[in-house]
Amino acid sequence: MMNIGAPSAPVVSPAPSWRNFLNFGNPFRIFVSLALKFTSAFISGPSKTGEITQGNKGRANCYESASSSMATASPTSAEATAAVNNEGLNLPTDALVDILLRLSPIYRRLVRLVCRHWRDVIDERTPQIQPPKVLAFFSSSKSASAYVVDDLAGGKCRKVWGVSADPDTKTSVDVTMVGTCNGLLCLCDNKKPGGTVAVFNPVTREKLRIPKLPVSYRGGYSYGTRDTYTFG
Amino acid sequence: MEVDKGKGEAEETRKVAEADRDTVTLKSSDGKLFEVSKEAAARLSTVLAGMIAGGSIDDNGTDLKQIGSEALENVVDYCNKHANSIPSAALISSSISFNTAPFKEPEEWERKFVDRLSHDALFDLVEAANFLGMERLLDVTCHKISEMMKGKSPDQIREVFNIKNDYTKEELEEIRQELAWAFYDD
Repeated sequence: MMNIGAPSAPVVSPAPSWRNFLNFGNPFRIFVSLALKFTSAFISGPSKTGEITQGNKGRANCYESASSSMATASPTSAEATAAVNNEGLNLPTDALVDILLRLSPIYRRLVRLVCRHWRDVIDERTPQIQPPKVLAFFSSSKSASAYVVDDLAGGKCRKVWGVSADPDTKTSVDVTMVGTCNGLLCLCDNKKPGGTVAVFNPVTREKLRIPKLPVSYRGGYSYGTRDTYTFG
Repeated sequence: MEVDKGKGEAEETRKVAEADRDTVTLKSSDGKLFEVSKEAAARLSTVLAGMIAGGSIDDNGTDLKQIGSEALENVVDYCNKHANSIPSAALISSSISFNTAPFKEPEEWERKFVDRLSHDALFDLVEAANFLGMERLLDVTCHKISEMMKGKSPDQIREVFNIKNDYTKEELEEIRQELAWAFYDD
């Protein structure tokens, strides 16, 4: 792999942990598709997962689990939790789950702010919207690949799709990503005039060629222009 | 067909109940006694149904130490109102459709029943319903609480439900940031 160096790397560098991630490959073109729909995404980073597991231990009385973690945080907040036990809302957890399930998923995310107990109950007992992940697509004349970032904070990612040029023959790769939707990738191989468009499912590794579209193509004169597709 | 069958079954239960004694006496944590129809109690509360079937009902007042008199009064009131306002056939058909619609809308009288309760009484009633395994009453009370929450900010919810904010500032900020993503907010 060639190393192009600095100019291409900083195309997208929202967070420091991203730089490492973006440094592999030698992106002549970097397409980073942020698959952000409304949800909390990557939020559930490593630190928070830890807390949730902590909450898991004592589920019989969730106020207790909250207070035990509070106690380690600071002595004053331990008093605060004691007050919750005495005068606050003390619904049976099953009933609280029942109530929370009646709320819309988005609003349910918002009320995680109410207190630790509610957050734990929401995280453990109510269905969550699958957090969207970041998809990064790299392409050069030698290879093209798509990566999914599973853990943005920790920089963990996995390759979900890739092609590379055969080193023996002098073929080149010219694949662009048209778009992504519901976990599917829509890719366009530009080697043929007008491009060959295919939808790829990274999980099942199935590929579906899109029938040739009736696009106008004017022989060799279209050099340097590219047909535009969208997918979503 | 099913309607008739339902009526028949309910009447049969009633007959069985009458054969013995048609009310049960319940005793609250503070020692007050309440009479409730045996049929309604058995129909609406799985716990009381089990106690009646198992013969662990005390004629001098079955002790329900977990339930205060105000909550128990509401429970009994609910049972009586339920027995009067809803024909048993309607109840049976509603229990059949229960699987398809997990949360059934409360009836008008049930709405009124919970609307007049104070917050504390409502929450006590949820606890009592939960303890007695009264699915329908739990449904109605939880529905009411979820309605009370709607449109309220987390701060307002804490205030209304008297919940202490036990987050640290940092944690709160962290969750807020997650929500910024969630709501496309900057």
